[in-house]
Amino acid sequence: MKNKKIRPSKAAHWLLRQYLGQSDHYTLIGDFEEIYTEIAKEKGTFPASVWYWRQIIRSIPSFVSHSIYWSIQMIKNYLKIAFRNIRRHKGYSFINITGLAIGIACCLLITIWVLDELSYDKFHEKAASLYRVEENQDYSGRQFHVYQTPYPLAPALKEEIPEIKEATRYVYAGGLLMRQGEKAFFEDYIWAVDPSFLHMFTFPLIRGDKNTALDSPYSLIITQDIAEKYFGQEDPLGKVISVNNQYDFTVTGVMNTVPHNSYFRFEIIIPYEFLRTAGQTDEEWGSNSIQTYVQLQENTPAEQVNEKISGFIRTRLPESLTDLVLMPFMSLRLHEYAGWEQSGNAVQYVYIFSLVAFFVLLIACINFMNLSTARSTNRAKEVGLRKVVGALKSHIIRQFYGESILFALIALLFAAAFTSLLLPVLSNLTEKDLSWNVAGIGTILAGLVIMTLFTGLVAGSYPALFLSTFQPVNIFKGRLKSGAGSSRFRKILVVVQFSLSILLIIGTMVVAKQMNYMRNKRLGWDKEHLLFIPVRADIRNSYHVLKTELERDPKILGVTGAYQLPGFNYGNAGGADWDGKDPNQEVLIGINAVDFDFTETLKIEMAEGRRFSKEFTSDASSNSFIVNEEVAKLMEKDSVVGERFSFVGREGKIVGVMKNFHYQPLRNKIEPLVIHVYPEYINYILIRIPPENISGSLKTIENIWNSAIPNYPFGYMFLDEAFDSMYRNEQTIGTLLKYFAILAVLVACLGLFGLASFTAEQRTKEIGIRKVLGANTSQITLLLCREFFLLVLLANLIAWPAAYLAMKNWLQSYAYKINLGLSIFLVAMGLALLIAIISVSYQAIKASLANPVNSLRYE
Amino acid sequence: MEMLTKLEELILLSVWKLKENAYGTTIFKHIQNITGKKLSLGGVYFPLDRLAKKGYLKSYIGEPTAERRGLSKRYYEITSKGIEALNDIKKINEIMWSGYPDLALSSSKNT
Repeated sequence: MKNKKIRPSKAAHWLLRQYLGQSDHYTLIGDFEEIYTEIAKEKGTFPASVWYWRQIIRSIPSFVSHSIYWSIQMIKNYLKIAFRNIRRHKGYSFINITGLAIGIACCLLITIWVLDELSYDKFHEKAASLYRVEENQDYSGRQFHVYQTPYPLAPALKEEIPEIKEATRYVYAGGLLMRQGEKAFFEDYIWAVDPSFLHMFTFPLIRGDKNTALDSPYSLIITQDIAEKYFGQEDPLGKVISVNNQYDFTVTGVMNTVPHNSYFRFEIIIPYEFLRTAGQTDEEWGSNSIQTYVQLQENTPAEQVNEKISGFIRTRLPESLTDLVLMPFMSLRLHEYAGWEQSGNAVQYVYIFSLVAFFVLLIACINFMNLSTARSTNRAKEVGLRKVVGALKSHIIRQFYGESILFALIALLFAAAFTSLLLPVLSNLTEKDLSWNVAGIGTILAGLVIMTLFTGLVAGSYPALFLSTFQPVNIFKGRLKSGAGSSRFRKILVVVQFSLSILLIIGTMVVAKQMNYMRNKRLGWDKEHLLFIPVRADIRNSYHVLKTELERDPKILGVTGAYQLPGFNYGNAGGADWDGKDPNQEVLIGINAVDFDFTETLKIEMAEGRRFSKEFTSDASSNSFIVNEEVAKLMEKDSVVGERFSFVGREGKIVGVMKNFHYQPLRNKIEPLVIHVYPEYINYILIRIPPENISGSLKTIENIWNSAIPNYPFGYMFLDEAFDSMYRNEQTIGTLLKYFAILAVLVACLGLFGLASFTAEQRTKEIGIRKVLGANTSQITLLLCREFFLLVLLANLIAWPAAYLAMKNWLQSYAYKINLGLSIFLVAMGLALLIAIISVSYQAIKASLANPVNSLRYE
Repeated sequence: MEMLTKLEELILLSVWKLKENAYGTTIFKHIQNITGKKLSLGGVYFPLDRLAKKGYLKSYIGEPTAERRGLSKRYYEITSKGIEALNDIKKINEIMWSGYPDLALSSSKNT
């Protein structure tokens, strides 16, 4: 009993055992207890326990350093072997590591892009409670969605709906001439807002007070870039900038440049009140020309407010068929849409690229596993030897796992380096400011590290778990065969990665073809050699002088003006009426206000009737209409020329029918369109010049401009460039897809190449025997290629339906699109086969040329 | 020749001194008594282990004894390689210390 009492505490005992974990730990414990017992007998159990515990705690450092010392010794050894392996099999190692590194890098790059897209507008503190008020207009049962709303909506909503805490208008006010001393520029990124804007959105002022900055109608809030542009290093606060040579504005605030991941893109903010006092607004409830943003009270569900505001317009205009709906502010970047149907919004590219990232990573990982397992079979002898000199199964398992994880980690390092190198390129391509510093990157990096470790683990599993079980005796007797199971597994992996590659190839080709189609399709008007000048400030007053002067010059082929540029003609209106119209039919018709010579300058062909002419007073008074063929179809009459037509508050006649032309990008269908002469509304001057001597023509125009409008700088753009820039999104996507497809195919090729060389090596003896028995080089090459050829064919069969469905879905958002003909699929197949053959044939030919004497010498 | 640490040197010497009675506890106490420093028991085992792995010591398990609840002792014994290493250390020390005046005591007392 006494003996038992002087035993140290169980907890301390347990702790000690945890440290030791060696087979002979009991001798150590015995030593510890011996001293303990001594002290206990001398001074009692308490000091003994104290000593015991202190010993345990003080021993920790040496225990730790000891265990680290020995594991470092082992790791050193494994590392040495691993690096020797890399050196001995340079080709394999290169293919294996590069392949995985490219895959991970691709995945990382795409992820950074995707995360950046997802990060839009998250920086606003109140982002979750911010919404844009949008309209669903009803046209005989068809919904037309717009995100413009009437001017008086914002204050009325704030006034009458208690759930709405704040509301602001967001009105484009750009195209103002700003002058400060000698410096004068046209500023385009100007928006007018209500004072609550600064409270709702997080755009903090560096200088100035956000509570008062928008109080006076003539106050300006500028970003730092603009401040530097006009004032250099001086403090801009309180300084005066003259606007349009007419108003004096005072700078009341300076804010940071708007972050690149902001839906709003402005450089200057002015008070809405200024627009109102300048008479540029109206109080109409039937029109819609500005954006309205609201902030809901905290914890108010949007559905509840939606119900309340849905019929809000009808409280002012009882006959209105327009419903209001809230759109979450944070989703604008990816889910914004307008028009008849909700399609083609940016979120699809986030999905597409997330999938691509996943595919590429998958291909790379498959490849890595594939090559690792293939290669490891060659190391059976090493395993045998290790076992003979005393390695345990667990040692071999640890070694192979360690090696394969090491490979994966090296690839991860390379991938990080690639990504850093390519980020600026990607930023350039996507016109973004991409960096590692994007929200959510931590999770992704952690995920990738886990994925890499997992890949290493799976890749290492085959040699670790399979090879380690071999009896050395069997290995050296040559009784070892790589099982049929593992080779079938490898074939499946090849098929999967080629299917994915083919999918990407088809995707790239379809996007490129669609792009090409859109750029080259005949538009029904001539966009080449047509330049346009935005009508800003009071340039409009001098338009007629300018036009007369320009027309006098023989070098100028045509001058006209328009409210909206052809190609960008989004304006439309309801309420059209004609004789014989079904009174219940609500129609929405596109509208453009133009100057005389519009159809001539644009080279739009007429189907019927005449063009506008100054000889008719009704033309000049905006009461004559020219319609497109869609309108004629809508009116269901044989001939619409001469028909009474009333539209946008004008009562008159249709004088001509234009052939249908694409007045919007080819994403959109040609809808009914009406134009009428209304020079007071023009926003753009359009000038056609001859194709030859463009710079001469430009010089002429500039001279005429300077004499007619000396107050304003001459600035122009070409319409074809502006038009094509509307496809820039698609173009970027196409380019990105192309590069990633190339990389994916490259990775797959590396894999196939490695695998082919492995197969050739495995079959050296078979080839030798075949050659001895009379097979010739080409027969053997074919034999080796055939297997891979069949696999790639199979991959095509799998990829085709998937690609067809995916691309059909993508094309759906385009009204005018290419046919998904068989040719694209055949070309993709040809390409994949070609790539596969090139990858395989080098090894196949090499194997078939080998002298059988060398391969059979030891038999 | 591989240099041993001071602790390893002390342990090697203790094992030699303790002859048949060299095991964890005695080695630990011996060094603690001579140096007067408080050691940790764990700090003794790992140099012992390392010395054994390097071949300076060899060890064997003793008979289980009743006073240790039947837990046996791991005895250590110096090998010829260990003796050699000690001789080398001694030689080096003598060369290193030769000519150093024995003033340490008097000078420390004076100050």
